[in-house]
Amino acid sequence: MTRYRLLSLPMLLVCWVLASPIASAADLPEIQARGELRHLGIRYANFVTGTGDGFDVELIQGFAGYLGVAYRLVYSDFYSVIRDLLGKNVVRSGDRVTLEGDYPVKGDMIATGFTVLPWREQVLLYSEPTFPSQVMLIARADSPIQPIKGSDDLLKDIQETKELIGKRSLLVMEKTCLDPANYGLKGRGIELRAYTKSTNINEMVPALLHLDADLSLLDVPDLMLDMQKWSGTFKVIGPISEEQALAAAFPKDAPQLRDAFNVYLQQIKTDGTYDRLVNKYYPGVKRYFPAFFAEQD
Amino acid sequence: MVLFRTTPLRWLLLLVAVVFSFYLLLLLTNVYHSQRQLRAAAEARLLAESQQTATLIGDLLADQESFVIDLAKIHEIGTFLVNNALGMSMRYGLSTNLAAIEERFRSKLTQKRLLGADIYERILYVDEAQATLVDTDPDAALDPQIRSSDQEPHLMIDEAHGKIIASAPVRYRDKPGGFVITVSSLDLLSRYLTSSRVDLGFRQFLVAGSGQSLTDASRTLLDATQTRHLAALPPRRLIHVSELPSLATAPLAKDYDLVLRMPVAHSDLSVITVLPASLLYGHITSRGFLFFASSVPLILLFAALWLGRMRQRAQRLEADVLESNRNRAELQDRNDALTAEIFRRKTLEHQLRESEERYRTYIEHAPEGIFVSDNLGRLVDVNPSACVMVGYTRAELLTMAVTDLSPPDMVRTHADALEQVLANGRHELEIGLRRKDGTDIVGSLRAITLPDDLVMGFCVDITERKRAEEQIHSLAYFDPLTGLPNRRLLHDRLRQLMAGSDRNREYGAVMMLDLDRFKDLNDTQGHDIGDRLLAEVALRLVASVRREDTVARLGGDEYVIIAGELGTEESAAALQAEHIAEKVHRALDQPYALAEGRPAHHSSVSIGVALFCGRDLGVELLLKQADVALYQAKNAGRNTIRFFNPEMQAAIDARATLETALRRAIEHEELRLYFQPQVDQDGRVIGAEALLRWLPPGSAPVSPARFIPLAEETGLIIPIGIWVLEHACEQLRAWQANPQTGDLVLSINVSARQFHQPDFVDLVRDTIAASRVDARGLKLELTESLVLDRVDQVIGRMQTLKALGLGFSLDDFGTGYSSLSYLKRLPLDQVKIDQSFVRDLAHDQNDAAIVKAVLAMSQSLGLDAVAEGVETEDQRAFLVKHGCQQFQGFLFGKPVPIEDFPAPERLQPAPGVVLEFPEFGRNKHA
Repeated sequence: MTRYRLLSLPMLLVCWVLASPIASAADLPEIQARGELRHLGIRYANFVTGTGDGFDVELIQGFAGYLGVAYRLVYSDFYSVIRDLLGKNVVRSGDRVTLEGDYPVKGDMIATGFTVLPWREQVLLYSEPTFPSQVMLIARADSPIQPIKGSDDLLKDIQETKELIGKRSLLVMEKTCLDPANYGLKGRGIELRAYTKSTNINEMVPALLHLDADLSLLDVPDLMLDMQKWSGTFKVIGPISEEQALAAAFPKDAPQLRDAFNVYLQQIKTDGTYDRLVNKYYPGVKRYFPAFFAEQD
Repeated sequence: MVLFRTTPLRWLLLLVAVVFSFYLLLLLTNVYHSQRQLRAAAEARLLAESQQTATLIGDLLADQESFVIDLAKIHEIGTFLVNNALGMSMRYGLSTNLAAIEERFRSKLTQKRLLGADIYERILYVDEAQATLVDTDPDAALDPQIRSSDQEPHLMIDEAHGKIIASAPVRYRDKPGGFVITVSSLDLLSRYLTSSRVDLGFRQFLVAGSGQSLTDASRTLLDATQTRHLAALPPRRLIHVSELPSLATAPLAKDYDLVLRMPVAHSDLSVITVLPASLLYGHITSRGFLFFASSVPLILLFAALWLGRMRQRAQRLEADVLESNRNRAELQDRNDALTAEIFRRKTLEHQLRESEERYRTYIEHAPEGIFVSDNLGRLVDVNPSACVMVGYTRAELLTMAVTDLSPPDMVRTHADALEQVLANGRHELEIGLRRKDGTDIVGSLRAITLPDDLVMGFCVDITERKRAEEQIHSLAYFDPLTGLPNRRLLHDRLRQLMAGSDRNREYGAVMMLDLDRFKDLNDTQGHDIGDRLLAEVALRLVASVRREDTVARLGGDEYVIIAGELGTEESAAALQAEHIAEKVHRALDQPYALAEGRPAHHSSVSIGVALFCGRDLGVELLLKQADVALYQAKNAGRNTIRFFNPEMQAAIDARATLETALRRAIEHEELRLYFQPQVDQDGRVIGAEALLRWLPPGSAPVSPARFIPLAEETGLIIPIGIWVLEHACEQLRAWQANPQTGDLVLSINVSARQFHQPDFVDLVRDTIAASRVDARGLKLELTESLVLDRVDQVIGRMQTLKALGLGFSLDDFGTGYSSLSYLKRLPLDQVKIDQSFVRDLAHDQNDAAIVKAVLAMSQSLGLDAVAEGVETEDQRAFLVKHGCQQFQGFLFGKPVPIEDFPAPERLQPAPGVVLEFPEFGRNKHA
């Protein structure tokens, strides 16, 4: 017996090592059987703060509780997060998206202020929107570019903002919501400078202030934090995108998990939990996106 | 008293009393000082407590001021102003900062609490232009006071809205950056006031410097003026309410004796404390009581001395009182008796006054006129209704006599009435009165005598009632249009005249008149003109006869004249009656100017005269004789006079007999239809005309020329017409059931009276439906006179019937006033050339020309023409030559019963062949 016991331990270890990298994405029954929900999160604004909390962290913790399973936060970054979910690398070629290679699946769902983008929808299942967003153009306070006045016509404001960029250098972050390809900024003669020192969108403003470029893109959730944090050092020129939706993302083969999440989301909107989370992590955001939150109500 | 008479003892007692009083004085002084110290301590404690309350309130206000200053410096506002200076748009940048400011404000709101409740209701951030940038309670109405342009922090009490408003300016790089404003409820301050929480026997409330009360408690105790007086009280000084006259009437004056005003720092507010003195000072024995207690022994001493003296006086007085009481009892009894008598008399006087007042009121408001006169008839009193009745004022009437109110011809009546009343005590009569305006009225007077030879008359104006009675009488016996006696009065007068005639054996005459063609005038000129003619005729009739004769109108255009006393000889009477009739005839023959601008109207009259002597004949029979004579006059061509004679009666009787027989014939079905064939140019039978025959059993047939006019006149033509229509439809159905006779068209004659019946169209429609025949096989023959009378109505009915499929033929065409214009308008299918033209076709050029013209005209109008009474081949040839296509007459067949009508196989003879049918007669009537 003792000999068998000694042999069984290394065999189990081998099996675990072999099984982990090739563990595929799981739908609801598998997660319930496993008893754990793996949440893929990126340190980004107040969605996933990096200190163990954040809007999406609490949201998915609640979802795990709703499913009756344990919760585990798995950190990722914007370049790897889809690969960590699907076990495949995403290759974009124009509008075409392909999945290549085999990689370890590290999580069951993404929830990290993840923007709903058409190319992502080709490979992911999105939940109902969990949060609104928008991408802005910012400049240093001493920039000669004057912010637009703003009007009731968002498309006109976007156009006016884009024209202000001219030939100036623009700080962007590819594969994220700050990817210039998402907003037709490529091929317009703009000097696009991809920020690659970090995969954290939170660092866009420090980079701009560090003179990495004349201008930068910045999403509204970050903007709300940075305008307090870096007050008086940069200014918002105008909108680059229309209002966007952020949502949780799931593998295409996990529809039951996605549907369960939607039911859970509806439930916390009804019982007030959702509002509490919004007010906790983004106080004032309702004032910025009144239409989105009116719909939620 | 014996005790006090002993002098040493008296002095001893006095000494004891003095010593005791001194002792009490010392005691009083000591107590008084203690009491002063206690009162000063209680007042000091009250002042300290009130000061503490005022300080707490002042601190709260100061906190609000410092709080708003701190809010104006929060870094979120600074960030907003920095970004605003960078030119960020409100929509895409600054709104984020405003959201942060709002969040910070909300956080502050929840942090600041007082005694478990939020201190602040609302925090706002407004820009320099007073536009609201942040408002923690955006849904609430914005108080106009919540605005600030003061560049220094300040605190404001909004008494009207019960708010404390603190504002502080925001500075950014030494430039104004708007204002932060906090709003809290004034009720917060009440929380510091003792009286608002616990009833400790005293009240505290808050008043503004303006005198406005800021706490609810004070509003129930003070009005606005009293509150203003409180606000003006000297501060920090306890004042007795009784020293304040303005508060004497306030509810608080009942429960509270003391009032204290304590100003609140940082504001113009004051804390007012009111309390009862007993609460402040406790149960300290009052100073008055101490004085009183110390003086009691002395008082007792002096009281004993005084009582001794008083007792002596009392004994003397007692004796006086006993005597006085006796006198007083006697006086009381007399006084009571006098009072009772006075009361009784006052009651009687009051009742009398009430009674008089009641009667006076009744007389003043009585609806009837009340006249009071003396025994000479001079009016001494009248009521308002009497004044209204005769139109004089009361003052005028009191100068008049009763005879002054009578019409001149009734003075004697009035005087007699007065005498009757005075003699009998009462009198009633209807009396004429002349009003001041000269109009006469009729009054129903009931007069009675009063004491002092006065007469009181109660008079009711019955003028209108009398007038109405006269009008009713007039309506009952007179014709309202002409004013002539009506039938009822005529009968009455005729009866009287016949009675007189019976007594005197004198002849009289009854003349019945009827205006010729009056109906035409009515129809063409309207009823107004007709009525004018009737009235004018009445005037001329009255003018033409003797005064004693009676002219009456029976209705319509029928008048009757009755003339009596025509002598005892019949011939003379007839001659005289004829004279009267001719005079009337001439008078009515004159032209009438009935309407301005129109030519004078000429009218003639027919007159029937019947003589009578005595009352052998009844009134009805006499009038009937006159009517018969009138009928004869009408038949004689109108505009003439006829006397009744027995032959006329015979004719009337014969007519009545015939009418009875005709009614029986209808009931016993003695009427039958005969059918006369109608053929085309080739001699083919294309239809027939149904003709009515009366075949009494056991006697000779009655000519249609006799019974058809009678039926028209009596209205029997209506049931007969229905009978004809039903039987014709029955025959038509039999024909239509046979293919060989299915196309035959059956014509029936329709009388004017029948056609104009309101239900004629419905009758035809129902009969056709009930018979289930094809209406196209039925043709109605109408005469010219029928269609020209009420032509529009006739056209309407013809079109309705034509829509059902019926055809129309104009019968006897050419014999009347053929109007081509009407002919064009009428929806006719056929005209029938009258047999009178056809009969003399060969000999009379005029007839030939007329027939040719009729044929040409009918062709041009697209109408079929059928010639009646064709008896010879020559006539037929002439008609064929000039385009006539249909024929009817003996040449082709006589009217026969249906069983003798050609059999279907004989309906198409060779041309020129005359169909032989049993002869019956040439008249055709249906």
